[in-house]
Amino acid sequence: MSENINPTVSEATPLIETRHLKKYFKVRKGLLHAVDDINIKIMPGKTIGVVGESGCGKSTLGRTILRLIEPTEGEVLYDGENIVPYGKHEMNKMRRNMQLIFQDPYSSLNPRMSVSELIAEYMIVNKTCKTRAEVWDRVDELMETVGLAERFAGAFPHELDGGRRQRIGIARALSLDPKFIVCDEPVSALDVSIQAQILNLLMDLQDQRGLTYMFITHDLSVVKHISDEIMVMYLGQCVEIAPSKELFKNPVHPYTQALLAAIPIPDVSMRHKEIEVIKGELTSPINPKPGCRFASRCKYATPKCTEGDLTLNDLGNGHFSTCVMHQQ
Amino acid sequence: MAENTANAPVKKKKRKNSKLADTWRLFKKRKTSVLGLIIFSIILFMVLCAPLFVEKSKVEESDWEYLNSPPVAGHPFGTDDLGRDLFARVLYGGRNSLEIGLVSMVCALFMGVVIGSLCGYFGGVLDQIVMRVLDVLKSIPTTVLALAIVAALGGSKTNLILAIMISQTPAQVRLVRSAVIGIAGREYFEAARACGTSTPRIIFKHIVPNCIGTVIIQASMAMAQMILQAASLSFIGLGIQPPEPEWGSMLSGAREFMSSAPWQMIFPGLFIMLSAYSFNLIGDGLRDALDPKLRS
Amino acid sequence: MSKKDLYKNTDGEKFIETDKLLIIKNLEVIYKTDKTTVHAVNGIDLELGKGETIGLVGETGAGKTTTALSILRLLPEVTAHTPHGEIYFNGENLIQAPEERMRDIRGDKISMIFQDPMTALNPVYTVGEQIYEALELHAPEHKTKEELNARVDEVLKMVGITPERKNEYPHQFSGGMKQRVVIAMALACEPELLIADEPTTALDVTIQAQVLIMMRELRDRLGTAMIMITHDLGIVAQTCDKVAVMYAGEIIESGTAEDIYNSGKRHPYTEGLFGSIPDLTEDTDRLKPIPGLMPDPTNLPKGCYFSPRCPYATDKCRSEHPPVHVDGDHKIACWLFAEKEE
Repeated sequence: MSENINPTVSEATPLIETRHLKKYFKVRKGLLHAVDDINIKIMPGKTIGVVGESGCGKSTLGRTILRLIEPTEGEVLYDGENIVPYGKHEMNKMRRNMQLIFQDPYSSLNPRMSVSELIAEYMIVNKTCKTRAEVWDRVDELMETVGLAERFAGAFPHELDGGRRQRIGIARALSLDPKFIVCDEPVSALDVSIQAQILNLLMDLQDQRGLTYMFITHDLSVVKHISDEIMVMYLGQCVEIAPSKELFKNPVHPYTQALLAAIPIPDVSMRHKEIEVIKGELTSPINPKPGCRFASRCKYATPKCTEGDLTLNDLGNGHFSTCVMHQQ
Repeated sequence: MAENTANAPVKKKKRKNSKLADTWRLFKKRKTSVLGLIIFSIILFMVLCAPLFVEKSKVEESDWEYLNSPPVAGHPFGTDDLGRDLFARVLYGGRNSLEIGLVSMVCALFMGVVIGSLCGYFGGVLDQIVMRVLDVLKSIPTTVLALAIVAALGGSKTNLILAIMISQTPAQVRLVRSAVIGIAGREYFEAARACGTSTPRIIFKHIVPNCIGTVIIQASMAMAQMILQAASLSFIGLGIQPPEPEWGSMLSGAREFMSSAPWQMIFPGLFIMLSAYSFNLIGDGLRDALDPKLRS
Repeated sequence: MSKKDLYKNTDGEKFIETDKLLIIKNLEVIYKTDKTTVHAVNGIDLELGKGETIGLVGETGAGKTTTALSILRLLPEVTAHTPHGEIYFNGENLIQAPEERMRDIRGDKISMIFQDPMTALNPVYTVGEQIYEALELHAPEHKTKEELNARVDEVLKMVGITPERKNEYPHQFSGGMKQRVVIAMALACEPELLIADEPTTALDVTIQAQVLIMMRELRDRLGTAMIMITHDLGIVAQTCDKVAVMYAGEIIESGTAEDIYNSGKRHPYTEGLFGSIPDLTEDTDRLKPIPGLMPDPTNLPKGCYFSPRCPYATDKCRSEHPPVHVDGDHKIACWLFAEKEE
């Protein structure tokens, strides 16, 4: 696993790679650094979990990789090839390989289209099937794959519950046989028992089809099972990246530690234990000062934290952190 | 493959559950709207099937024995000052009135959907320019605007339709545009872009079907206004030219005899009122029936 | 029959003698629309002592919010009916109380916090003005303007907001700060009972932790009883003394937090809920979700409502409604435990 992330030793080509990817938005008060110098590699068939609180730029990162948002700077490599300079036509072709599953199963489905029309739409647009009958066969097949009963084919999204709607979203994303899927908080709008169903479905699909996922979420406990490695983002920057088990066993960045500590644990014996909570709230990523953006909330902060630019420090075992405490 | 084709019609059926039945169920719940629909259907039937009730020749034929006659056998609505049968004139005149109303509504609607969705979808400079032009048009009262257009182009049915259409278009464009902007913020719109859907397909598959409800409601309301506008332009002599009958111009011609022969005003006036009123009622019902919040 | 009549029933007494703060007996709530009847709450019993905190756990559509709204009698009058049930607050039957009395109780004796802090605050008034208004309505002991203003400052400080910010408008606050303001408003009159409906669902984890700790401290200091509505078993474990698990409008299991989390005896649905949450301390590859979906509340299954999804369901479960198995405070409505007794 470790050689996959370590930039110097990788032999195989990662399916998705970003190099110094940046996305800045112009706002009235200055430049909003939504994605700031993100370097990741995702090997085929693996899952990277992207964790952070609202406004940390995780959704922007996912959309920038898919070029639904144009990057300000940097490269996005698909199978070793930079897709940023691609024209509209080339990009449309490329999009078949890269799909997005949306967070909100309510607003991401056109309310005027039936379940089977929704699933068929991507195939019709991309003309992947020769005849209509072939499209409908594929639709039936996809509905079975994601566990939607045949009787829902003619139903409209508003007649279905959140879990089933999310299954439509998944079937639609799978319809073009993509290799890479960005899952943008696919379960955060669902009930716990349904969340587990959808997470299991996504893992099964990965096993069957060798899919590569980027799994975006604000909930660390959700990514634990599904991810091979996890990246923690704070205000547009990657603060820690490590293999999933390693991150939970040994979180080194104070922000990651705070995130883990903040999850309420379903165990009554823990209730009287004082949990340490970080103070304050997210500051804005508009015209940020150099150095660590978490420093203003960090209890270990020293003047050194806000000097100079951040670098990812290699801690071994594929574990990287930007915290200056771990600088060698 | 043969099996697939054989199955195709059966499969096609279940691809979409009908929404029509649901819409009708909700429409039916509002009794006044059903009444509106019945009234309008009767008017439309009488006007379209006028030959069943009275010959066309009666429209311009004078019956010199009955001048300014009140309703009698043979002349159920009475006659005018030239002895023409008012029943025939109201029915055949309705063809003109309703045609002007319906055609100008459909045209204004079409313009609204095309210009509105283009402006809402592309935004930017195009949107700004079109909106400012429409603002100017909108600042002129619709009747005055229509008046100016008819006065400039001359009074004919086509010009009347054109005038009413132009005066009604800005409102439709604004409505569609704001609906499109609302939809463009939705995720399904982004989903469509994410798979490389072409712009026309996005507009016609994802945008228009989602704002068509609002547009239909608005149009059925505006329809009443357009019938009234057509009548009022004809009333001041700028519409259909005599001896061709039209409800508005009939009303105008009957003005002199208001006290001596009130039926000359009552019948065309009643038809104008009823058709406008019934359209308003239908619009109310459609608003309820197409509102997704009241569904499910 | 007027709307008011439909909303009430004549079960039980107007007043009873009790030392409990809240007693709910056999409460049933239905929503009637033109086509369907939704059975939202189907005969629940609940007791809450002074200063206690109960966690009401369940998924969307389990009837948690409906239960809370019926305590405050805030159910939508047009569609909701309560054919049965008694709700005693300090011994007074709220179902039969006149509307004027309810207005005194709401906000003063019982407060509620809603899930979405964004919509709970009026955007055109400053935060200070809104707290001031709540105090003016319900706190007769603070009469003068100065007293009320001083109390506004005090309340804001209590939830960790500097009083200088009281002249700002809600949109100038972040989500976590807004929820603090909402909590400040709810606690301004020191109510005896606070109903919190998913108070932290809309917040980020680190902010959620801050807000939960604050709520816990305030509850202990003011001695407020609390009903915590949530779907998160972690939040319940960290804040509640008692737990009631709801499913399809029924309380299928209730007891002390220790009963539910540690006694080893659980309703199969509760078991399923625990299986659905990813465990941070254990290594498992797959989650164990509950198969299937919540039953349709317009057409509930025969017998136990959970039987279609229950891995242990027998024919008896599918045909007869289960009795309540009682073990001290721990109550489980399931045939599995009833049969063991026999």
